Amino acid sequence: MSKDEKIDLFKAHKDQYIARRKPVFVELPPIPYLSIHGKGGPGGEDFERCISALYGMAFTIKMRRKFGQGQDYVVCKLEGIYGEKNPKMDLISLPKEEWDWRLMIRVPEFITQEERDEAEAALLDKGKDPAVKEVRIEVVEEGRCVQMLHLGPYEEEGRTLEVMAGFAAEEGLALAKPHHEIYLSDPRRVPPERLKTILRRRVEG
Amino acid sequence: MEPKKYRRGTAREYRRRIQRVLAHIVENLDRDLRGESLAELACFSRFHFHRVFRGMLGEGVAALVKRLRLERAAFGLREGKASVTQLALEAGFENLESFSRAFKGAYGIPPSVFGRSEAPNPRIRVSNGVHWDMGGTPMDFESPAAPGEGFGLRLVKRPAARIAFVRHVGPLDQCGEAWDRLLGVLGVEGWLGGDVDFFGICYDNPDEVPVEALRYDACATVPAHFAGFEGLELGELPGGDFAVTTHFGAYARIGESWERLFGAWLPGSGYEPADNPCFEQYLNSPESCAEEDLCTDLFLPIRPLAHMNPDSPSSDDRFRPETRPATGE
Repeated sequence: MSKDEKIDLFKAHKDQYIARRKPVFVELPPIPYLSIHGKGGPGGEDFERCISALYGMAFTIKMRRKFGQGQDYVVCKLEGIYGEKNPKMDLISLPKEEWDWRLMIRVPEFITQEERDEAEAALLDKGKDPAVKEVRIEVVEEGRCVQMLHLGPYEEEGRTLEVMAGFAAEEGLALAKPHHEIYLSDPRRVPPERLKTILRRRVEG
Repeated sequence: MEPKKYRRGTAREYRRRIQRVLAHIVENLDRDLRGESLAELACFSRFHFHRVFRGMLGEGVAALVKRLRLERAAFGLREGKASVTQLALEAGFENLESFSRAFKGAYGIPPSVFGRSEAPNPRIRVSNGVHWDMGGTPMDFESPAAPGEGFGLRLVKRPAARIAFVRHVGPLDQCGEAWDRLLGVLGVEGWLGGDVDFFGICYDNPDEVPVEALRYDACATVPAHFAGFEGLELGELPGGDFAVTTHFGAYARIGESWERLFGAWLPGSGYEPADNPCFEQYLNSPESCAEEDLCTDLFLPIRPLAHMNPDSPSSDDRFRPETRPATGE
């Protein structure tokens, strides 16, 4: 791929971001993400602060590469993995304050630790939130998963997860944890009934 | 702040103001109206008059003037009292060719044929119902109904914001280069933390300013300790009271949402546009989301509506003269 071409990982890996109203199996290779870990209710102060830090790093790394090496890529969508530290966590019954999560934005494989460190230094130098220090490059390997598009409020993900579980069960498989979400719409403005979210779960069995 | 209920009285005030402009246009159809201060005549801020006009009539000033001139020419052709060339000149066209082209575009047939056809209709179909008429053009017009329940509208008070910006001059769909320059500098230097807001300010009205001269500022908020950077300008995004609605989807259709805000909501709102420009806040980026998922907040600066004719307020007007002196005449 030439340096002039703008890389869009979301479009380049359509097979990994299938967003249909019916569940499908997908196979995920190890994928690098910029990630930040935290605890508490989504939409809460810590959560928003981490999103802010994550986007700050994502955009700064992207812009430095675009205007440094002349290689441009699209900043990917926000994703979240819930319940990694607490595998027994049940998103439905556990109070949101107890949730642990990892917020992530996928980055191209060529992004280096050095670029990450330089971006952090630039942001700190300009007085940005020190939370950027907690944003790391991490590789997530999920393997075989079931995923499906969830339409509507996050609180109603249960019904979509049920469909996914039924689909997996037909193959003699069960949904594993943690719970992975890919946010296709902006919850700040899009009304809850119109929110689009890809739900993804590893399968085991 | 909760938006006020729809007020017929303030809607009437808007109609009066626009009717004054329509009357002026019809009386001066032979003159070049481009240099006229129609905004002043309507007592609307110069930043917003054309959007109010377009919103309420569904047609811009220039388009309406051109259409009325064509209709007048069509009436003339039907009467058979003047030559096509003479009518073309009266309609403000420089030559017969451009007149014929515009005429054919509007009526489907060339002017030479129109005059000979049976019972030709000189009126061009428009939703506002304003037409040229031999007996004097009626100044009443149809405008969009008040927006329904589904129209999301918030009244917001926001402080002024310090911004860095790059000015783009030209067609609005080519403003990407200005954004690249702005984000290039800010992003590389580390100014783009997640706490930055992105705005676009459009100063000119596409109905009166040639497309290659349209000014647009690509803006990002910067903290007080940002001292500036070569190639970027520093400024302030004015604060105050705003009516805000969210446009969902493609930027190419953002004009429709502006039109609804100005034409359907504003006249019955009890407010009028304040004297600073509108702006847009981009909540996500076309680069990283599907076009249909784009969210843009449209900010219309507002102040309580002042009446042109304070002696005859309508019964349901609750005009408060202490907020702003009426611009009586």
